[in-house]
Amino acid sequence: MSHIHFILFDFFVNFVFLRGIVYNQNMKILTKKRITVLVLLFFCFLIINSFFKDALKNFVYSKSEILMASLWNKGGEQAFSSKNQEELNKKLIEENQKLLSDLADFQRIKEENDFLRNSLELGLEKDFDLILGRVISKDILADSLLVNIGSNDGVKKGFPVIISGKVLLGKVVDVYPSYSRIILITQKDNLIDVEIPDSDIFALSKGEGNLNITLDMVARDKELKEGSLVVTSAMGGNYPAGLLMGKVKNIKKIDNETYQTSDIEKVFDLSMINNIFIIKIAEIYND
Amino acid sequence: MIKEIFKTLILIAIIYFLFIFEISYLSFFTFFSILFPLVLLINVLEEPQGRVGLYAAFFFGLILDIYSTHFIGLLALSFSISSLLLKFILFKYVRIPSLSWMPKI
Repeated sequence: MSHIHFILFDFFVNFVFLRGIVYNQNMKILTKKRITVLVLLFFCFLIINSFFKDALKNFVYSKSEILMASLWNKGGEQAFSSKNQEELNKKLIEENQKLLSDLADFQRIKEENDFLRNSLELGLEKDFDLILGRVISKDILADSLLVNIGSNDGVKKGFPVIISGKVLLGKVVDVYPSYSRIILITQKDNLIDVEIPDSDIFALSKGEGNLNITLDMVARDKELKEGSLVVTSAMGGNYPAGLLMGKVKNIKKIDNETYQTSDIEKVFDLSMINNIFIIKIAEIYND
Repeated sequence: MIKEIFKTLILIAIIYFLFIFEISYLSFFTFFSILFPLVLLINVLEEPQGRVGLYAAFFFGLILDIYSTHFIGLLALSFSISSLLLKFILFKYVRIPSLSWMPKI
């Protein structure tokens, strides 16, 4: 019994001491020296942000580009190979069958379209003016990527970013001389005007962060179908129309809500993105 | 003094290379940062007057600022102040019992 008392007493004594060590209670952590250093650093950072921000970031990126690019490639390859290949193959076969049936329809429509263009003497739409870039890294706090092309290559803030297959990836938010930072369509609160061509629905896509994206502001009376393709609309003015964003998934229609919502299954996989294209557009309206 | 500068330089190098590894290789596998809990752990475990946690918080914040869209220094200063406040709270109000009462094996 006395042994237990001894243990309890020892525990109590240790409990009032900090981590078993007796510290002087007058010891100061927020000293004048530390506060002065922080204030001086604040003014230093103000000067850096005003005059050297882009140059400094560009310099640091250039020093770590090779290492980051090689790690990005290795990570992507490993992430892709570690996914369930069997499941992926099954999904691809199903999609291929659906695409083949769609292709037959599109060929017929293309012939009609060509005939109408010739009849009305309309030229084909001008292709995008693209700049090719390579992804180096991803921001850990946000859905944004760093790419190895910048203002020296003609990149400007607000330019849309796509990958092969006209799949929209995001837009340029920061431009440095040799590098640019792009935010993905999944970045939190990133709103994009979209349309669902097969149902003639216009809506908004909303980034939710962590590579998730939802479809919002779809009128209740419109019929939303699972698997419908979501493409960009020209209404917002920031993105060219017809860029692929994803497929409608998990439709949510709540009785007392004015609009229905759904998730968007994005069509790009981060592990397969190495090269991106930045579209040179003439005007950016909302940036 | 030289020893402390050497220690700080090693700390910066470790944080820098871990950060590069995290934003390029690990970004495919996890959404969670490994550096953030590491810096927090250094701050919690070291003694209140130690500087390693403070330096770690500052350089981690600075690197985060440089490799993101923030203003340079925003997170560096925020993390440094948070580190100081954390040490202050731990020192003033938190009592962690030692395990010295346990019988030795």
